[in-house]
Amino acid sequence: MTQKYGLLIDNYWCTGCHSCEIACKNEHDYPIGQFGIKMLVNGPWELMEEGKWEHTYYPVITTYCDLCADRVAAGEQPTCVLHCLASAIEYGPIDELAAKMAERDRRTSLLIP
Amino acid sequence: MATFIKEDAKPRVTFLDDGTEVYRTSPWSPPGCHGVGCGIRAFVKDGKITKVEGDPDDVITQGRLCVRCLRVLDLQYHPDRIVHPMYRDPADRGKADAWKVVTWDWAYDKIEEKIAEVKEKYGPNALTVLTGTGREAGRYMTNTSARICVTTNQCYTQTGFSCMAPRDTVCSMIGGAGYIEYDFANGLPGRYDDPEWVQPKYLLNWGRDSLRSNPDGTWGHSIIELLKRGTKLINVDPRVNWLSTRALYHMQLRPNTDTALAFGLLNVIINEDLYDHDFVEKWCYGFDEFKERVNEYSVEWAAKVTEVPEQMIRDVAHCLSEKPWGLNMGLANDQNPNGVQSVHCLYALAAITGNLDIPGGTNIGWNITLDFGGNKYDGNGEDSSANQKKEVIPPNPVTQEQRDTTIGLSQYKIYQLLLGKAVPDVIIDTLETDEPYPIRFCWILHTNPVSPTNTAAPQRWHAALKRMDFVVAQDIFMNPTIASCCDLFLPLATWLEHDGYITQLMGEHPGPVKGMVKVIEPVGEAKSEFQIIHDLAQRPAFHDNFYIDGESKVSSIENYITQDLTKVVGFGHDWEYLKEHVQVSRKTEYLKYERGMLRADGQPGFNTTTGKVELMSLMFAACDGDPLPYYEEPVFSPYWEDVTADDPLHDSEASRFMRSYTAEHPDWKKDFPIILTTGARNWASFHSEHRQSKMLREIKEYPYVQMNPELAEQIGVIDGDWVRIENPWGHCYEKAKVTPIVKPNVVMADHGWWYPEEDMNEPSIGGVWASNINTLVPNDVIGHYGFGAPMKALCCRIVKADKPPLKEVAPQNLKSQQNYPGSIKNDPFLKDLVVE
Repeated sequence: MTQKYGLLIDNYWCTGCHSCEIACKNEHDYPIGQFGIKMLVNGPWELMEEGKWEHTYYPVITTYCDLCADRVAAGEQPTCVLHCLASAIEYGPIDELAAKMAERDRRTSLLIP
Repeated sequence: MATFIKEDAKPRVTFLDDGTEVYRTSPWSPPGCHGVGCGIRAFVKDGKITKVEGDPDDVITQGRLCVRCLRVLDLQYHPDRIVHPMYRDPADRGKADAWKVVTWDWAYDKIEEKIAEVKEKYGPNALTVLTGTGREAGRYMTNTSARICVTTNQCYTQTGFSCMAPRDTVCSMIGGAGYIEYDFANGLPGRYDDPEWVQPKYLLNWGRDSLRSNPDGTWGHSIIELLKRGTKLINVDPRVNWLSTRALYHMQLRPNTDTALAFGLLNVIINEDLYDHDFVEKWCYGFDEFKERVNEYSVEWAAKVTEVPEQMIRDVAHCLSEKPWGLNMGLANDQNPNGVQSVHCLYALAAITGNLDIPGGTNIGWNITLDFGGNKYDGNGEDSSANQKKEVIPPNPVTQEQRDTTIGLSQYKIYQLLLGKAVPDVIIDTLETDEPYPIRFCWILHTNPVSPTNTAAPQRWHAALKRMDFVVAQDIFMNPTIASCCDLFLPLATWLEHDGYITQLMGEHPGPVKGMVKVIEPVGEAKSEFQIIHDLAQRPAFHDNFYIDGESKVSSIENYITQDLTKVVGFGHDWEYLKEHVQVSRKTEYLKYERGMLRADGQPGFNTTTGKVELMSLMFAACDGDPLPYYEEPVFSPYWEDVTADDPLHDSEASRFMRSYTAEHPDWKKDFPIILTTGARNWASFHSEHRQSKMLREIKEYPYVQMNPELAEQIGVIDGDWVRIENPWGHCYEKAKVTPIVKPNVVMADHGWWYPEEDMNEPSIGGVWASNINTLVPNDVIGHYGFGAPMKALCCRIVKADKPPLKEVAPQNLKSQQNYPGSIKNDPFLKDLVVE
């Protein structure tokens, strides 16, 4: 079986900067309203424990995402990985990413196109 | 002191197989941003930039890049970008179709003629040069004001100079050196793995939204790097913004009560004996008096005033007794009439806990190298770093009489001592009234004072600029100020089109000095800010103000940058070297006060009269102020009382303003019960810029005012409704963002909004009055030293709008009505460049 690749998102530290969305649009020339990766948000709302809040961003990939195959073939990183201001996106083989994910103690998601 | 480069960085220019050239460079402005100098790779094919990406070889940003730079080509090749000089008869101000293209020579002739005419008619200082915030124009502005206009009335137009200068000035006065900033290993060759690096235990983030704005040239996401590595965050902010949700402690203070909160922390630290005795004994002056002042403000009192729980103040104070921690102090301290005192307290907090200039603590900066100090730092030999400067430039041609009559200087000693330029809240009166003398020529350097960016009461600036005989403006787009008030438009080259250099925190802090290396020739006839000065310096009328014995700093950009770089303490390289490497870093030097690195005499200590951090400040005393910090209630607060009337040490324009307003309208406050804060930062814009990019408008289509669900329910609005925000000084419309992150009596309204898609004729001028939040900001509500307007603690009431102020359009359908003859779209040779 060929190795599958994906993106590991550190949702806890994603600051919601939109750089992944725009970098992806630039790379693939998507127009307004079209996204290869789209940032969703949960919150902000206050938890029942006073002073604690839920406010987490969830970049998710869309049908378009090809993990920047052309860039990767040319030895570059996927553009969302390169530009993410919080360095919250990693690219790699999914078994390696899954192993990293298992070590994480914070909100994390593994995205596979 | 040493510098270092990244040895394995790619060359400045590389080539792809298809012939594309890839250039490494760094952005500043225009289009505007703070000068971080994030690493850029610009891809060029057939003379056109096809793509802009982050540069993985930048040691700070490492390829990361925000949306403003990722979409810079939207602006670079925007059909409405102005790329030919244009002139409009002053009689036709406000008419969008009255502009005609002129040559640069014609424009320069006109400038020369008008400067001479105005000087002849109204006097030598009847000219003003206006600047905005943070942009590269600041590098060149004193050339324009002192050597071309030969006036001392250069002015940063923000009410109370409420951006950076108050913080920076307090650092100079108390510590005798530059700005103090948290250490993020920015000047260590091994960064966070460097043997000298120590991980800070805490980051005290005080009124600064660094993530979105890279404020004052500090890389904002360094905060995330620190937190990921285990530093705990203490966030001080009236809003539960995202950063607050990642904090160990979030101190949600009432806006502009910062000084009270700082006193609460100091009280615990001093009285529970949590301070660094060794540092205080060796390096602090006036501790006993300072302690006595702190004891006037109890922790219980601080909790009540700030609305921050007392236990939290105590807990945070205990955290701050653990070394090292970094201080990240923000704009909220500037936009506060009591802000000089909050900065004084915060400086003291870092000092007495022994956190100054230790690894992982709070670094002391060198003196500022960006000449935002106006005439004070231009060729008069008074500047402390003068002995290391190697600049070929004649003495500043302004006369002593001009210096002495600079508008507002006689009222404010700190402006006199440290800035030497016009006081914004005073010059607006002069522009309106001709008192004490007329000013009738204005040169606007890449700023937009009619839009809600930094001026108080933009409607006053709008009217005042119309009184001018002649107004010149430099920019890349038509904007509401130019559309309504200007006569000559000089089109600027973008940061992709000219050479320059960028230093973090205006050269005060270690870490990268960045080369902004020209990638392509300017589109059309656009010229860089330097080039305009260079061209004018060749004309007989201005030549001798720039040249000595046939030589001048402005003779070429290479000369200018190389000579300017001699002001960057410890750098020691020329432009060729910087250009080749794009990024050259200065190494962080710790404990400079122990090593004789802060004083001109090379002795250990601080560069103050006492050689110590002056907790009791001799400089404040010399400037007719209280040498110790003190708390003042925000003037728009229901708790404000007139307590300084017979107290010259503490009285301020803010108090005088409220004293006289309250005398005329005794019950006014109950009509405006909501605390209005403005100016929160956004990803997709820098103040009034970037609105032309549809893709950036997709991220933020319209201005929002954040309000609590309770307030929304009370006034009957839901998310997305247009609301009218009003107070006695003005009103405007924004959309409701219903969110629990603000308290029910606090709202945060976006600033900087105008609409390039709206009619650019008067009276619309780009829809600038629809959402002009600054019309709610009055002038003269500023602190004792002339610093600090309460742009984050105004008052207002909010009602649902009966109708939207303009027709809403989806971002993909935004259609420009602009049709300027000097724009890219009207140049048949440039049409192919257009990106939209």
